[in-house]
Amino acid sequence: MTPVRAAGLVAGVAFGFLISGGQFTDPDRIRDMLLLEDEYLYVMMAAAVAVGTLGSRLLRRTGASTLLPHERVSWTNPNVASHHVVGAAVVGLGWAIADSCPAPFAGQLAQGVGWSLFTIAGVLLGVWLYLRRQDRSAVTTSG
Amino acid sequence: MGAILVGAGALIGFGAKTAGGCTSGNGICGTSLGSAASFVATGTFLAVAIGASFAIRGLT
Repeated sequence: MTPVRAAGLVAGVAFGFLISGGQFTDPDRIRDMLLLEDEYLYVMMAAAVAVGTLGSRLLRRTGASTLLPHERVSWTNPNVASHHVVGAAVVGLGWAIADSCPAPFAGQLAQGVGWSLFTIAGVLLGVWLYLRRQDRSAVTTSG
Repeated sequence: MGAILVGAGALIGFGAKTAGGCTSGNGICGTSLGSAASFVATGTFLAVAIGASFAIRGLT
């Protein structure tokens, strides 16, 4: 295993452990969140963003290096484009139907929730359709 | 039920590729990095998911 994959594995295990413990993998909790009956997951998301905002700024300001490869922490953000809105709207629809999203799917799989196999198969299908459509539009523009 | 879940997953997979991230990628990581595109995406998927959830509850 390459060091980058090992680091990814450690981060993935930590993320899965924390979102499972935080009940972000519980479809009933997500449904109540989206029906505005439970503020818990909004608070959890806001807390994650607050920590992420502070942490990333702190790492950049102190000139810290990324774990692998050893480069100074920096990033650039993309400009807002219509595909962000269109794609996010499609995600929102799927999220409301499944009452879960990709990270919880993976968590549910590890928890032994059988129907996560269906949603994971769906995500793979959706990504495959996107890539196939992209290939075809690339052929169209070049040809 | 299985077909519905595969369909919902496909929407999420296709949409996340289109938007450059899912609820975690745009909603937590992108917003943490101060990306305006991620804030727009997060506002959009939250609004659509909340609206769709109320619609689903009304229909079922």
